[in-house]
Amino acid sequence: MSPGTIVGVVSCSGECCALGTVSRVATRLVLEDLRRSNTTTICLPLFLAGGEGERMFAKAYPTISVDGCGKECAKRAIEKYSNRTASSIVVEDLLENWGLAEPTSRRELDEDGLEAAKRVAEEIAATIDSILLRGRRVERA
Amino acid sequence: MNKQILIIPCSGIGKAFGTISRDATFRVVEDLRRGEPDTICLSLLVMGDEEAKGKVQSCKCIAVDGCPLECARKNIELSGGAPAASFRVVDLLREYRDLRPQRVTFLDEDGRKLSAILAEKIASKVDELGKEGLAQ
Amino acid sequence: MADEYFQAVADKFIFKVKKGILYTENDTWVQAEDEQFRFGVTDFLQMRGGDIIFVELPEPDVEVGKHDDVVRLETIKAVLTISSPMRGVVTDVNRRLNDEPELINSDPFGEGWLIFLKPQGRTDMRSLLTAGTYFEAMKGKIDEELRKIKGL
Repeated sequence: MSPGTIVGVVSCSGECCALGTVSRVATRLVLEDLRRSNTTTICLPLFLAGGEGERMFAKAYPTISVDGCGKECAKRAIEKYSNRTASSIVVEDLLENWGLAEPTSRRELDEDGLEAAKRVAEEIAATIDSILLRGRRVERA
Repeated sequence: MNKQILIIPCSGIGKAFGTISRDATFRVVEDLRRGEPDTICLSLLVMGDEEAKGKVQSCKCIAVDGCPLECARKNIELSGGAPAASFRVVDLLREYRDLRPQRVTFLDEDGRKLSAILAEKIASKVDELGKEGLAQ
Repeated sequence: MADEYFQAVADKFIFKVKKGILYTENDTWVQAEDEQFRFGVTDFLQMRGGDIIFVELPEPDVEVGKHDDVVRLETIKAVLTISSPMRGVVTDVNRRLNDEPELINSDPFGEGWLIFLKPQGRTDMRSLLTAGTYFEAMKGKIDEELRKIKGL
């Protein structure tokens, strides 16, 4: 696959709060359903532990970091070990913009949490489309 | 409240094992041993957060990995910690051969069963490590 | 590393093919050592199969025919039966795999070897592939797998 056809999505691991769970679920929804054909996920713990394939991918392909909170661990990790991210999403900021409360459960998202994750997934999908479109414009130029 | 024990899952996003590691950790921290052990974000630790590093260095850590790549254990060690115990979800599959978790995003029935089994094992280890602390 | 292996990259996965040994179309490899052959599975097979949880190995001294099922690998997704590349006698098995099946995933061409075979009768090597030929065939299989996964 050429760099213009696939985008890597990197979610934070986010054990400390439910925002991390939203980030994780949203990323998986994009991979499994919304943009199955042109998305891959980068496993952040494997990436941090030195995963060769993950780091090579993040150097060569555009990536989107999806962080739960403003600490932006996923974004900082990608930029430290591979390359600048093509885009970054912070779930906490999105929920605030949408007027949604932070889910309460880290382990299992309730109905509201799931709705939030779906909205974040749509946001990620739109970002993927935008990155791929930019890439195609650059190729044609 | 014994906040001397930290349970750190790998939370790997690519396999059911990672989801199980995470789910089992929350079962222990929020339910089975509520108020006793704590958990932290693995990525926060590796990215050098001073508070996270301080916790790892001052607490007994239990690494909960999904697969033999052992990212949680490795990342704890890379950050200057030394796990007092470690678990791998994949080892549980060898013990419970009839369970075959397939779903990654949301655990299926086999995934939930494995998570519950793993959580009990982690909770026992928390008790064991807690007693060691008292004995000293 | 580059000299020892051919390497194909697809998505975030790196597939290695060790040079200097022979391969079968079923994604296994054989390496001649004295009068025997060391036998194992390829990087592609272990990656496609997933984390290996159990390995069933034959007993030493068992006779196997070409294409007989000789090893069974159980992963979280499926059971893979591995067939013998030649007629022969199993002279040794990698017993480490009983406790550490993950060696097949982490080092399929090295510590993850499966068995040793001593060929019986004339060994027909014509069906075996060179590393270069297998590498090209593997790239086609990778593309097909990715198309399936991505729903293309």
